[in-house]
Amino acid sequence: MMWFRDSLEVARQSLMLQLSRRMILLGVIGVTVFGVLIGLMSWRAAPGVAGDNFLGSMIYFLLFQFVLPLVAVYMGVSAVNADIEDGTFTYLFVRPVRRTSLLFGKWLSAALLGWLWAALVIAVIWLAVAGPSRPWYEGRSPSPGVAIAFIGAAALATPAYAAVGAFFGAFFRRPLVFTMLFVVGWEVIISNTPPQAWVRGATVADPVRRWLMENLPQAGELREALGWSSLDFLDDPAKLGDPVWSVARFTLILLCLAVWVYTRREYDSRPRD
Amino acid sequence: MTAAQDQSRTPPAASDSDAASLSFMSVSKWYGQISALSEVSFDVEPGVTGLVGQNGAGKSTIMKLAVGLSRPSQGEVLLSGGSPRDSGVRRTLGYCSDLDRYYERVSGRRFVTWMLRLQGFSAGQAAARAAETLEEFGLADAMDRAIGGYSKGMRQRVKLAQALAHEPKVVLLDEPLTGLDPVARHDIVELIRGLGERGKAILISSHVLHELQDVAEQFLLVHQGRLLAEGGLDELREQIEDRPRKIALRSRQPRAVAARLCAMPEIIGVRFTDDGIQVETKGGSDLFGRLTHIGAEAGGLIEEIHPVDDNLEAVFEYLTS
Repeated sequence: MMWFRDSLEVARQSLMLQLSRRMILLGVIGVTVFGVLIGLMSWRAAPGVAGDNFLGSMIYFLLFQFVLPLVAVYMGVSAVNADIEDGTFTYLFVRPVRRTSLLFGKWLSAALLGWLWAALVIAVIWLAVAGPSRPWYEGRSPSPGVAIAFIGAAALATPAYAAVGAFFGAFFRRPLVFTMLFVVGWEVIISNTPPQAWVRGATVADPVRRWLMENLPQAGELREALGWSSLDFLDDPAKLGDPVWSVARFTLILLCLAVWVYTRREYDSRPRD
Repeated sequence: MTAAQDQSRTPPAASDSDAASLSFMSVSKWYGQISALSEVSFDVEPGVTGLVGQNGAGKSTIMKLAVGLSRPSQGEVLLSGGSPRDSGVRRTLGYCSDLDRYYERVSGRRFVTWMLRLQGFSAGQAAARAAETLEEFGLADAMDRAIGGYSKGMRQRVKLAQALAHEPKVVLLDEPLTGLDPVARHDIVELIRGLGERGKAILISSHVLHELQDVAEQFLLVHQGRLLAEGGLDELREQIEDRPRKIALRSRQPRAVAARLCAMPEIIGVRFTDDGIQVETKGGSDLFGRLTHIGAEAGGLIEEIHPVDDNLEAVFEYLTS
C-alpha cells in the first residue's frame, strides 16, 4: 500500500515536472499546425477517398508509425534519465522511497502523458478532417469510431513505449541514440519479419497493428489503404497470440529490466556539463 | 509539530536503536582499479562532526556511501543501525549534497513540499512544514518564485531546507556553506550548531577548514582515501606533539623578548614579524605558562600570546605533509 502511495506521489511530481518543460508548449503548437495542414490536405483528397480511410491513414502514417513511438519513448527516457543527467536524482534516492516506486511512478507519468498527447493529436486530426463537410468519396464521411479506436490503440502502445524509454533511460548513458535505433530500426524490421520467426512479439508495432485490425470499423478497406493486405498473419491473428497480452508481456519485461538496472546501478552524481 | 504528525513518520525499529548514528566498519571503495577509500572505520555520534580533506581525498565517497548512493566494495556502513540502502532507515536521514542542481522551474515551496511528501508527510502537513522551514531559512518572500531565479545563497538555503525540514536524526551536509554571504553563513552555522546541541548527529564536510572549526566539535581527517586522524581539535593537536609548535608574541620590544627566549632550550627558532615575534618551539602546552611568567617578570614586555598553529588547518597541514 505504501509502495503504491509512493509510486503515485512520484508519478504526480514527475508529471508536473514534465508539464513544466518548454517541450510541452512546443508540442502543443506543433500539433495545432499539424492539424491545420491535415485539414487542408483533406479538402484536396476528399473526392477520391472514403472519410474513414483518409482519417485512418493519416493517423497511422503520421502518428503511429514514427511520431508516437518517438514521443512516448522520449517521455519514458526523459522521466527516468533527466534527473540522472542533471544530478537531481540524489534528492530522490535519499528519501525513504524504494527505487522500484520511483521508477514505476516515473514510467506511469510518462505513459499517461504520452497517451494524453496522442489522444490530443488524434482529436485534432479528427476535428481537422471531420470539420466542415467535404465532398468525400461516395459521401462517406469519417466516423468518430476510427478516432476512438486509435485512441484505444494509443492507450495500448504508449505504456509499452514508455517502458522502453524507462529501460533506455536507466541503462544507457546516451539513451536518445538508442531511442532512434529502436523506433526506426528494430520496430520497422522486426515487426515485418515473417510470423514463423516468432519475434514480432518483441515489438510494440506488430501487436498494436493487429489490435487495430480487430477493432477498427471498416477494417478490411482500411487494411488495403494502409498496405497491410500483403501481411498474411493478419488473416489469422491467433498465430501470434492476443495483441493485448503481447503488449502487456513486452511492457512487463521492459519494466522489469528497467527496475533491475535502476535499483542496482550506482549513478554518478557528478553531472556531465 | 504534534505527536500525531511525528507518529505518522516514525522510522522503523532499527532506526530507533542505541547504535551509533553512522558507522563505517573497515569500509573500502574501488572504482575499477582506482581505490577511492581504503579500510576506513569511524562512528559519528550525536553532535557536529567535521569531515576534513582536500579535493579528491574521499569526502564525497564517504558521503555517498553514508547515504546509500554507493555500496562499499568491502566493509559495512550502518546508518541508524541499518543499511542506508534500506528505504525505512533513510527516513532518519537528511542530506544536502554539494551539487548545485535543482528543479529550476519549480518554486522553493513546491520543491520542499514535494520532498516532504516523499518523506511520508500528508499533503497538508508537508505544505505547512515547507512554508515554516523556508521562513526559518529566510526565504519567506521568495518561496513562491521558481528556483531558477534564485541567487546562489538562496539556492543553497533551499537545499539545506529540504535536508532539514523533516527533522532528521542524522544529517549529512556536503559543503553546505558554499555560496552563502557572511550573514547567511553565520545564521547557518548557528543553526547547525543548534541542531548538534539538540542531539542530532551531523556530519559536515568542507574543504574550508576554518568554517568547520567554527561549527564542529569532532573531526575526521581524510587524505588519499584513508582516515588520517579523528577526534577533537585538542586530541588532534596532541597527535602532532613531536612537531614544532608556532607561537606569536606581540610586543613593543621584540628584541628584548627574543633575547630572553633564545636562552630557553625548548625554543628552536625566533622570527621577527610586523608586530612582534614568532617562535618555534618543541615545548608542550606548559610553555604558555612560562611565557606568561616571562612577560610578567619583564614588566609587561609581552602584550599578547597566541598559538599560530592550534587550528584545524595547521594540524591538517602537518598531518598530510
